[in-house]
Amino acid sequence: MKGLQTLAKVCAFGVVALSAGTAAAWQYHPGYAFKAYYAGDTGCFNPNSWSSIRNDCTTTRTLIASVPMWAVGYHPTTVQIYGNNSWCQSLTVNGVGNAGQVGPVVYTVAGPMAWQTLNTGDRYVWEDYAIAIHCGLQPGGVIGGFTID
Amino acid sequence: MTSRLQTVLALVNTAAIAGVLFAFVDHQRDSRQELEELRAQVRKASTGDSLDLAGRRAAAETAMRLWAANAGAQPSAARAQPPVQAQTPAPEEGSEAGDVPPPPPPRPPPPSFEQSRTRVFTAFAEETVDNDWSGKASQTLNEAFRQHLPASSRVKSLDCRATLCRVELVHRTAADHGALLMNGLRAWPGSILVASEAQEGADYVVTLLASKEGTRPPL
Repeated sequence: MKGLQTLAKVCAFGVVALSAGTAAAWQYHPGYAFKAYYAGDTGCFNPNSWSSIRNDCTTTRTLIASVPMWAVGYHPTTVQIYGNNSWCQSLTVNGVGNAGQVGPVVYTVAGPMAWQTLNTGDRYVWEDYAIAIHCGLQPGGVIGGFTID
Repeated sequence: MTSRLQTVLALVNTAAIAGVLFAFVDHQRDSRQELEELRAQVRKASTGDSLDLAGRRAAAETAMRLWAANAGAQPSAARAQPPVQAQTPAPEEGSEAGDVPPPPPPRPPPPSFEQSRTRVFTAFAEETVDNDWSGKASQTLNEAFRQHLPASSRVKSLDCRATLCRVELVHRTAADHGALLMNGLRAWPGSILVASEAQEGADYVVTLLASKEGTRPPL
């Protein structure tokens, strides 16, 4: 009897904990999760510090990172970036590589090179869709990481 | 003298052993009685709670099934539905009913992409025209297309209302559409839903729904 009660409590706790974990599935990904969008630009990107990625070429180059998602709905996204003339956008992509919802391009603030957090907006994820972050990184610019909530 | 002392000691020893044996037997009898009482209580409790026990066992099994379904099938809308919900008896009200929380209500299946597209098309159809925003939005999109649309592509239709613009583009190839979406629409400050893209004969027809900056389309 007592054992059954304990089992039921453990199961109920598991259900509640799992639901809470699903609801608050905040993700952080390091900048090194990005790769060059075009193969020819691969040599431009090098690690900066432990986990960020830096553009060592002399012109702006594009990068992309994608993250599979398990929760349907809107997901806020941000990118941590060092620069003053770089941009990023978030989008959802489906199984054949087509875009579902494309977010607006968000630019870094002009002025001295500085670390900034770009709010790349809320992207809607459907079943079997992933979120991708697409950035144009200026020379000497660094992407520290990005978050998805 | 010594033999008398030995006799006394033997008697005392025998009495002590007898006392210990008596105490042990008495303790055993008490234990047996307590055990019988406990068994009677257990039988009584089991009989009285059998229905409640069945309900709680069913609820526990349901919780485990829900847990398994949610853990293994998060990406799947259909599988996220607890199929045993209707068959599960609710736990009985009582002093111990609060021990097992009732299973959560079934979640509605999340919308598919097609359903979201229909919703946004419906929202667009129901919007009235905001002349101010509509004019500016059309101008922004037209300018973007003028600058970035490949020569072999064309704008089939463009209609802006209060918070949404519906655009139909005709390209030669899917690659033309990809390049435009990636580079040609950077001036658009809101999100863009790629509602459909399909090869229709020689044409690659794309329908976009562009949202006003700061608004969320009803996906």
